[in-house]
Amino acid sequence: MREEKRNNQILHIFKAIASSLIWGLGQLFNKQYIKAMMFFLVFGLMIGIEVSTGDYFNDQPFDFYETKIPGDYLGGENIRDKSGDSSFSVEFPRWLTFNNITTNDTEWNAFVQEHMANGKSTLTTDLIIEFTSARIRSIHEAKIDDINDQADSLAESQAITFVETRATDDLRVELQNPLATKETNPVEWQAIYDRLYPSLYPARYASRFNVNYNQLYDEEMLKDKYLSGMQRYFSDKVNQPGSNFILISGDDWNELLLRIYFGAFPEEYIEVYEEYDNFFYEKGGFFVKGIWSVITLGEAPQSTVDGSSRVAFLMPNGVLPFSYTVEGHNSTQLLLTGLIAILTLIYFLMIYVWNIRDAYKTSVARQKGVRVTEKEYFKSLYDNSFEYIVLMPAIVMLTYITIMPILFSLAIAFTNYNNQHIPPAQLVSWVGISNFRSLFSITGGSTIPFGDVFWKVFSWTLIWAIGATFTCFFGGFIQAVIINNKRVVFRKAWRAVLILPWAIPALVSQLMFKVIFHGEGIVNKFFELSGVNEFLRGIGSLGQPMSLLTASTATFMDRIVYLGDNSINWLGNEVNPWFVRIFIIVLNIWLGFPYFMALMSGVMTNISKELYEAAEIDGATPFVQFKQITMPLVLYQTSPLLIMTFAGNFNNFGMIYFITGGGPGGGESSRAFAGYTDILISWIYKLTTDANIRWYSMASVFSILIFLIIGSISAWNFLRTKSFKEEDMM
Amino acid sequence: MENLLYIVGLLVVLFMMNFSVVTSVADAKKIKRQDIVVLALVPVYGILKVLELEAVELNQGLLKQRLNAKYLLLTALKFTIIVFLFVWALTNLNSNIVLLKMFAALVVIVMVFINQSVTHSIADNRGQNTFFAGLMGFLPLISIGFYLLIPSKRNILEQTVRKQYSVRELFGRAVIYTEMTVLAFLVLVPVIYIIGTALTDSSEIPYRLWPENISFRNFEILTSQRWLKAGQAEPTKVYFIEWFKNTLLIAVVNMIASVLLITGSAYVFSRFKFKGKKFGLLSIMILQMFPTFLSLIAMYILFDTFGLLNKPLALVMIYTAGAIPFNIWLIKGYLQGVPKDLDESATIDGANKVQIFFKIILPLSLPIITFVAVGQFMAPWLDYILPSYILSGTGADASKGWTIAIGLFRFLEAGNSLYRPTLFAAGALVIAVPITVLYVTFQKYLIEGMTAGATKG
Repeated sequence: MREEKRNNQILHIFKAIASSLIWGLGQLFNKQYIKAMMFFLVFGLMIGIEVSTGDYFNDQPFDFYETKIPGDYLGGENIRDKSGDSSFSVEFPRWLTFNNITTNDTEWNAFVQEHMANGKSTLTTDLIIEFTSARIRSIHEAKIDDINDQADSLAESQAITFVETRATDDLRVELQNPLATKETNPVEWQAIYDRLYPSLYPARYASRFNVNYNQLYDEEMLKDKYLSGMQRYFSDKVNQPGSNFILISGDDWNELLLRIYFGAFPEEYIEVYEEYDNFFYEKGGFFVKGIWSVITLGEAPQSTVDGSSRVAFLMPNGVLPFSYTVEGHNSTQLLLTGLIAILTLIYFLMIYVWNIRDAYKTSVARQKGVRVTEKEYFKSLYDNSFEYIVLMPAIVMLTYITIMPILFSLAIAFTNYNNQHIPPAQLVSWVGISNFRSLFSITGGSTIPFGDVFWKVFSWTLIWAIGATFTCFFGGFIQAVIINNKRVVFRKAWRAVLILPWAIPALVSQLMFKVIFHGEGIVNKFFELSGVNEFLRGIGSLGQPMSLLTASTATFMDRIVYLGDNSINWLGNEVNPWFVRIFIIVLNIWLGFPYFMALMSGVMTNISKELYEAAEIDGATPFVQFKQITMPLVLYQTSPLLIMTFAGNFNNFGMIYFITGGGPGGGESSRAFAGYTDILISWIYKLTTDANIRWYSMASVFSILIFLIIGSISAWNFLRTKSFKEEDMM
Repeated sequence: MENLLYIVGLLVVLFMMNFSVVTSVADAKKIKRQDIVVLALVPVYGILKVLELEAVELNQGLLKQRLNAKYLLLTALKFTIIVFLFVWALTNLNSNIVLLKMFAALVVIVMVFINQSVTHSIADNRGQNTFFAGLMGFLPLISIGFYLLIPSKRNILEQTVRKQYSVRELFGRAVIYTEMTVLAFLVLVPVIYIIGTALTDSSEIPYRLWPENISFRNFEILTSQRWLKAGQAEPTKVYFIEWFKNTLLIAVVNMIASVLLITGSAYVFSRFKFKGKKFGLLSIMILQMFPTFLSLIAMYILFDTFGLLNKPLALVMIYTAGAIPFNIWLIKGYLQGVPKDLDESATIDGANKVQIFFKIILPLSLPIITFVAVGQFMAPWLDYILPSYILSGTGADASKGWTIAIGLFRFLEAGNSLYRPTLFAAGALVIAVPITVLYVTFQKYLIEGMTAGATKG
């Protein structure tokens, strides 16, 4: 009996394993053919995507020129004439035959003669490239040593002279004798020279002059440049009336030159080739490349191929010196597409797991004699499918537009993606938790004190959020109490007026405040006219230009009292930044109190009158009624909003960015680009979007921290609410 | 001139004293107010006559109290202070000292409101229509007198009514109305300033509340989309209408797409049990906590890869996706309040899920859908962060693809070729006015909706 069971167990596992190898196979063994087909189709889809987006069946080796260099290969079949019948590689030997180019270049002449057969040239582009490269190489090897030696000795003598001059100068300073020389004070001079030599000599020596390759090759080779003759011929041909030939672009000629260059210096070619011959990048399919992308973030950086100085002389007319930017791996794009691939893969994996489990379970059910017909299965699936179908668009959108960016940001926080590592020019790489560590160490990874400044900005953000929330909350409460007083006539009219700050779009009012509190804006003008400025000048708050009160000259009193120069500097007071901070909190009350006023007013009117009547019968004065009935009820009912408002204010971008711009200050790396009123989110915005800063990695780190803080608060708040508890009962 | 006013004031005080004494005596003698109207209004004669009148029911204590010399003196003092304060304020309305002028205006306004409030209370006590009383309250003293003299519709002691203008009450009303007037002033000044600035033709920030010469130049620039600056041959292009169209397009598409996508999903979550539901709900809750901000860079790269930069419609994807978590939760919560019995009876009648959705659920959830739709419609108008980053193309006509928020911000960017604060005010008005009107009209509704979203999670 047990053996039977064990045998059956093995059978179930076998089917599960079968499904894990080829999807739907286990279902096949379970005699559920439609299901098997379904899973197999999905499996096929996945493989299909992978294979079709990849290049797995291409046996040919990586063609560097084809993929990385613009322009077509002159020796290939791509460059054709207008009719499409003939290509350059066909025309070319024909041209050689007919034109019988003779130049002063004996080697070239011999070479051409060698490759004549039956009066027709058998030269191909490949052969010419080989020939030219070989020549360049030999000249290079013959002459370069000489040239280098010359350059070396010149550089050496120059460097030595340089150090000697410096030594003499220093000697004169030390001895305070403008006439001292090596001869007059040899011992001291030698000591100074020995001291200066190790640092000055290598640097000076390294900056030797560059070899003039043109000169190097031109002397020996190619008096009549056959390649330029070729080029001239073909471009003339295009211009002839009735000519069939297409224009060979500059890029095509340049590629020829590049092939010659790399042919002459194969060691450089191999370096470049190996750099870019990346299996995953060139051949990988969607999923494989995606996984590779996320792990490595790209391996080949962008580089420049610029050998024109060495080969441009071959075609001096009409070919621009080339310098190609070879496309490397775009780290961030790779990360992005990689994440998309991984997310999609996860969905496939979910189906995969479903497939395996189904094989196992159905097998068990079959053994027990329960016939789960496919019909029933599909019916129940269909019944539930409505839900899935309806949810599908939302799920898709959420996955790729919400989840993917979140993962991306998360990932960025662990990289070095900043203004020194901007794809596609530079690669970005993983740096682990060093960004997070820099929050706690004093210097951080770079010279910018992100860690230090983070804590400062964070504490200000807390103060701001708490201050803004409570001032608006209680301000609104007080205002609700006042407006609900029975003595107020036409309450609705008053409420309509007082609710305006909430009704006017925040963007508009915030930008408006920027205008209103401008240096020469209406408020300052009013202060001037009404004599307030006079008064402030009297007590020393106004009158000194801000630039005079720097960190060194400002007194403690100044820091508290200084308000501006000719008029109050509301938004940019660098000497007294706390003024701006408190001002912003106060200004926020204007914007924030109406919502609470309206809300609490509504709550108050809903409090049953009987409560008040009962209290009055018991002899409670209006004040006591207020304290014991109104206040507790209203505050209790609206207190959940405190958390939400706090979270909202914590991330209140507009209030800070639009009004003060984060200032005073900001933009200096000494303070990690944060201004004095910058809250975390406005700081992150600057770090991300300011073209001069672009510290994406740190911005992501801070974003994650914001999320952790706000997220946990929101989660905690949410867990307390009724609806979640009720949810459990669903 | 001033002195004349003070003399008039003195006369008013005497008049008020007369009124007060006459009504006091009448109250003590339980004579109805409407019977002594003439007497109350005619000085000296009124007092003499009312003292002669026969009492309906004499309240000796009250009479003594009211005819007490000390009491009369205090009342006279009170009236004098009130009237003279008012006169002083009136005379100082033209003062050259700005602060004094403003303070005087405040006093006048607050006193008128106090008058209105007192009138309203008196009318309320005496059972009269309070709406008209409030309107009439703008006529100082006259309104009080009126409502004190007309017949009382309620059986209330006149002494109680008198309390409405006792010193304590007056003081309380003064405090309340001063606070509200000052606050209203603080609220209205920026509003008036925006409107004034929009009507100013200046390339600088105006420091006047209202311009000397009203000019519609800013609106001309916006509607014609061309701005000919002084000293320039070619007018600068201001693609305001394009921005408006872009934003409108985004708003409408976003609204439709969001509602379609989210309502269906919320319906599914609220009504059905299916595999993965709990997981789905949990993940939606978590996703809600991420600020859309985080996706800035990724979105930029994503759009760059697919060539969707500078295409306003691409923004819709982000807005809709971002709206999914919160709004699914909101609508789901609302739908949970819609009884399931309706579904069940419909199923019995043979309706399938789709039919139930369209015929029953959708109509019933119209309020919350409206809330979501309005919210989604509003979102693009005011969003600066996302569009400014995604639509930040370069090139001469790049600004054609902007949204209004970006354009407005550029109007205020010193150094930008579009810098013109008055133009900003005009543009801001164009979009702010409809939104403000919308908000004020539906305030109760919107605030409740916002709160529901917060407290119900």
